[in-house]
Amino acid sequence: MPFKNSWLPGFLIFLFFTVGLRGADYDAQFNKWFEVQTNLQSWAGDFTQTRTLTVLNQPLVSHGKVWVKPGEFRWELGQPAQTVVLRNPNQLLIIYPRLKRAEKYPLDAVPTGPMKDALALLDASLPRDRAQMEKNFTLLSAVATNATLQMTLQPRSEAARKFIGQVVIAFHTNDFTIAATEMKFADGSKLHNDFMNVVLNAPVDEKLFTANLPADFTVSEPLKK
Amino acid sequence: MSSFLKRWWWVLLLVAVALGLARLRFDVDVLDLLPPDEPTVQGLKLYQQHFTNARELIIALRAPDSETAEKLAGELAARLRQETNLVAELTWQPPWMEKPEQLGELLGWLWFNQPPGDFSALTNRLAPENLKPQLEETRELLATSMSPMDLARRSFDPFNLLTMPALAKFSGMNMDQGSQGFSSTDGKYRLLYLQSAVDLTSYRDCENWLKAIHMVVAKLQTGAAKENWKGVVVRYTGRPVFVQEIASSMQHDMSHSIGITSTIIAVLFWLTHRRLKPMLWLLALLGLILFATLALGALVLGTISVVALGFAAVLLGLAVDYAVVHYQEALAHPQMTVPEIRRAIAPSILWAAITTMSAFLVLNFGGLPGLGQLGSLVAIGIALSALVMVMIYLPPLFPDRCQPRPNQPPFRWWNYFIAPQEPAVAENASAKKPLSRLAFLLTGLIFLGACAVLSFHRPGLDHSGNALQPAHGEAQQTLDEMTAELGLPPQPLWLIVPGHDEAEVFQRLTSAEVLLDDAAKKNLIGKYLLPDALWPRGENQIANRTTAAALGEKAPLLRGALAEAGFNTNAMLLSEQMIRTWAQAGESKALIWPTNQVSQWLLKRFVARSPDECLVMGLVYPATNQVDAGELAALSKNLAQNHALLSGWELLGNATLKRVQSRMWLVVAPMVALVLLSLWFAFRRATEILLGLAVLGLSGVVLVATMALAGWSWNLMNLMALPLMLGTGVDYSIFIQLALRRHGGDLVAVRRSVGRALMLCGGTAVAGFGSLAMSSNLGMASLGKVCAVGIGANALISIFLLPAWWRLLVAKAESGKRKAEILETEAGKKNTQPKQPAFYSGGLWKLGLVAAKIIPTALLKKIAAGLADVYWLFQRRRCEVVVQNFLPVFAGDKSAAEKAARTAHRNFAEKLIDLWRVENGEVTRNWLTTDGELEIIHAARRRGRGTLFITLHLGNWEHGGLLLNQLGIRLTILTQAEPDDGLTDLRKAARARYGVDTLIIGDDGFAFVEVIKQLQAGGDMAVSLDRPPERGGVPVEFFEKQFEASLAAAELARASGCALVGVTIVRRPAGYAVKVLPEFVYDRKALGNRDARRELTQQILRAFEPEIRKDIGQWYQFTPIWPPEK
Repeated sequence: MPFKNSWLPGFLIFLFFTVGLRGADYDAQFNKWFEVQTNLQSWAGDFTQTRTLTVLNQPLVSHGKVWVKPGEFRWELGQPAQTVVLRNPNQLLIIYPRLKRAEKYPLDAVPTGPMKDALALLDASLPRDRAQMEKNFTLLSAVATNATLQMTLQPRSEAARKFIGQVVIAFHTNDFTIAATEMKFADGSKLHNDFMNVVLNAPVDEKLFTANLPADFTVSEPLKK
Repeated sequence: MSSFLKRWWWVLLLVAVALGLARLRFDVDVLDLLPPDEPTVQGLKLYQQHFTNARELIIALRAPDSETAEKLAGELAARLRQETNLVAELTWQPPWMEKPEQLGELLGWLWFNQPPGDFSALTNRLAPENLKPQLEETRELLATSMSPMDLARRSFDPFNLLTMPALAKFSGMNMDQGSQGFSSTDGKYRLLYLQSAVDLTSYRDCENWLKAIHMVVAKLQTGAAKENWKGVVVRYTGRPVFVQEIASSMQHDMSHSIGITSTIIAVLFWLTHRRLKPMLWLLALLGLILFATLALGALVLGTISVVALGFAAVLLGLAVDYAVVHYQEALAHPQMTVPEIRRAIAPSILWAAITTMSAFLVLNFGGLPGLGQLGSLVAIGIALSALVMVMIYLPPLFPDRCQPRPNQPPFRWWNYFIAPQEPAVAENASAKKPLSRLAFLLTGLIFLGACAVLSFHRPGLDHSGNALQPAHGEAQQTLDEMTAELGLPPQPLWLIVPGHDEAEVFQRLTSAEVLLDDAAKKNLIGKYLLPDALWPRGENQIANRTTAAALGEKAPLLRGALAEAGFNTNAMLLSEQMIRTWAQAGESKALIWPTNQVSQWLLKRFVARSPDECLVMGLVYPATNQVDAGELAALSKNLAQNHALLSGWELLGNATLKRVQSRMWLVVAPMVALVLLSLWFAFRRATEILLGLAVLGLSGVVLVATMALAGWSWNLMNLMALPLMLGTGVDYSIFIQLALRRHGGDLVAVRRSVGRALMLCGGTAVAGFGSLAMSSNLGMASLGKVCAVGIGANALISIFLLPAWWRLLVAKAESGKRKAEILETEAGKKNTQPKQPAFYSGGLWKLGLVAAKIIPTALLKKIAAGLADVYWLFQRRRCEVVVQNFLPVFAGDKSAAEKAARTAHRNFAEKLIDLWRVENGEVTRNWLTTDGELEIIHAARRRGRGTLFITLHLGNWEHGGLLLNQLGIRLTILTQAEPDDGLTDLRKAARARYGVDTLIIGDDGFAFVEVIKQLQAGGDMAVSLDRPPERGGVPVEFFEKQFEASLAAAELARASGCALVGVTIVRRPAGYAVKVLPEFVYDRKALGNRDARRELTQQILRAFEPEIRKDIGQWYQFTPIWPPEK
């Protein structure tokens, strides 16, 4: 279908950011944040998502839940869930229960191009070390307000910038949990998440990260040639 | 030929050349090389004509990173767009990304083509009461969907108008389609599509336009921002580049192959003759011939294919031979004038030219028009070369030898075709040199070596169409790179469906889909993509007009609903355009197509239209990465029956190869017949014919082994080398064997004379064909290589090995024949008496015996009569001898003599079969005798003084021995040796089998003593009297004309006192009629006088005259019997 697809890499980056970056003091606090990352086993929380689209006069708001552990997450959007996103090391699965439809994005077979750039960006930004993250992003600003640190980052890759102009990450400086994320897309759209009730290292049911799709679901692979 | 006529011909030739030059056009389309009625070819031509825009240039730009690639592609596009005199339109990113709203027209048009039921359902979807729920659903999707596709699409399509039946089958298309065709997935490789602002009809136009584009690009690359262009590669492809490349490679091919061949010719000529003037004159004439051939070719053939231009080098290599032979002859015979040389050489040149022309002309039967054109051009050139070299080459080189001698007989036109009699050459002493052991060693080594190679590896048959494609130049490389970089499936097949109008195309498209569906189910093909769902349907458009008009008025309603649902005007852009399209469609009166830039861009990928034709293209993907063209052949045929043409280079190669293979016999069979005929006319001896074939066979084995070693394979082009090798290769063995005959088997003399000339001729032919190896057309290059190796092997084997074989197998028989020729020469009759016919050889006689044994007599006699007719037609000189012999019998009536002579030839053919049957042991019993006449024989024998049966070469005289044997009489035949020693022995043994002895008289005087002794002992002997003896004949009157008669019968009568009985045996329908003449009575004493012996001889011959008159058609006199006129 001949249409702009700037949303796809943007979304993926967004997803990873929301689980990967949870804030830091601009320097010391940032380092501390990395430290917490290293020791983190899991986290879970609620969120409110606000989508500001260029074709709508008012933003769209929806609520959801997220469960995360290293290399995997589950994202449920809408109550009841309209969309479920499951990520494991090999693939990303987007399920639309109401539509009985699922989209599969194998992460190990992404062709080179903007998508690959976006995913490379994600891998680099699931930071185990700060240097790796700074290799992919330029820090444009860091602002501390009410026990949160908000950093505005810009992808270094021009190709990635074609889709995502800026990424904003805010985290709580007291417990280093994520507070908010925002993606600013090249077409002017924005996607903002505010996180609440975040719990660190609580036990997470492994079943949450596996998908058992009913037989009547249609599964497609949009990236497949 | 009068000088006026000569001038008239030249003027005519010049006029033809001038007319040809005016018509001269070059065709750079390699597809014109192929059979136009082949569906695959038709499909490919339509594809190239309609779907690869003739004016579209594709610029490929590769940069180290995607940012640079995009930036520079944009800059380049902007710069080129400024050149409005060169560039009409430039697209460097998907037009729908720049103007997404333009997609609305195409989408609206697609809806308009849907079945009326689906289209009117849209009215319900857009009814006021349904708009709110629809937009609420869209908002929910935009709020919750994580699907990039859904989010992107529904933002601009809030009414979900993109969900339509026509697009259902495209729903699975991947998300990268958007940028496909413009950049690689990593973004480092980008494409720009340029439409020329100028007409690119000719290759000159293409060349100039491309030059201008290159200059603009080069300026940008070296301008202020040149640092940005470091490491950036810009390449070009598209039809203008292909045309320019093919045209320039044509020039390159022509200039290089002509240059190389001319240089080799000059070097070889210089090495052979070391004379500048004839070499330069030769090169000048060759240039003139090439030029005139091209012009005459254009006159005859019209447009000349670039592939056929390979003719030039081939022609040079072959045409030079005629000049070389002429020049060699002039040097070898300094006493001869130019007209005499022409008289001597022209026939062999003309016949050689006719053979070579035939070899090249049969290429027209090969199924490849381009190659046929090459063959025709070479044939025209060969004819021209023969004419030019015979008439023009020598005079300027030997100005003092140009005038004919005063007593020289006039030179008629047929003298160009009939060779003069060769002067006799005595047996050369050096011919007795020992056989060349080295030659046999080499023969063995070559044969075994080749067999060893072939036992491990044999050249395969290339079924692909590679041989038809031009060698990979920049245009093709860039295209290949594009295919790889853009991730396009390799080797798709195109399905081209032409039709007069949209309805016809749709109907054909639907039929094709059924066939393709079936093929996909059978796994013959992988998948296919037909734009049938997108194809306009006239009946739907007519039925949808009212609905379209109604939908065209919904814009305000939809705008209002969107605003109410919180959408802004951006969300309406696409829908607005669709509604506008429907409004226009509602007012349409005829079938409509979308018109804006985006629609045009998309549609021209698979649709082509002209006022009287519509074409649509689909893609068919093979089941595997290897196209099995054989399996697809049936599908292609079925599709073609439905006017859908399945095409692609892979398929094309196989289809064309099949055609070439099926027509191979049409090409090879005439050449084999021509070769056999040439060998037959040249030698008329089985051994030499077989040797000629052996040379061809061995050179074929060498060629195949070389191909195996070099890793070459047969393909649809180089298969055509077979007739060419047969046609040109056979000449070498003919020249060498004839020279061996002339020089009495003297290898040194043969190699020094003909061998040297053939080395030069072979070298130039190899150079001519070999230079094709550099052709930009792969098939032509392979044809050149195969011909060069085959003809080279043929020439070398003929020159260096064949003489040794000839000495081994032919020398013995040859020496016998040479003796006879020398005797004839001594008698001074060589120039007046033709040799015995060729069937007087042991080999052919044996063949005749076998044929008489296995083939039914009636059939064999019919065949023999037919051959006699052929002989009558083609051996006029020999047949004329018979006519002359018969003239006195008919008192000079030529017409009657000719009629009888022709009958005699047919009868003789039948008689030979009778004879072979008898010699095979068949018993003849159907004698037509009278007891009274037989009593003459018995009475003569009873006297006990021996009987000499006198007969003539009338009827089946040889049967006399058989008859007498059945009467209990053992006869001894007195005869000369046959021309072939083997035949003499053979016949002697055969006669012995049916109880007849043979006594060879020859020049042995003692043999007569033996004859007299036997007669005196009461023996029965037979002698023939109607041919003049070589020596000692006496003048008598025979049919009122002086005849040198043999006194043999009278001499024997005088010496022995034997009875002289005249007998004839002629064939009648009921059997063999035996006529016994009354015994010739003589006075033995009187025969002591020579005049009395002459008188007795006269009496005998006169007694036979009525018998001859009665059965003149069975009087077999094939050598002149009358003394030469004074």
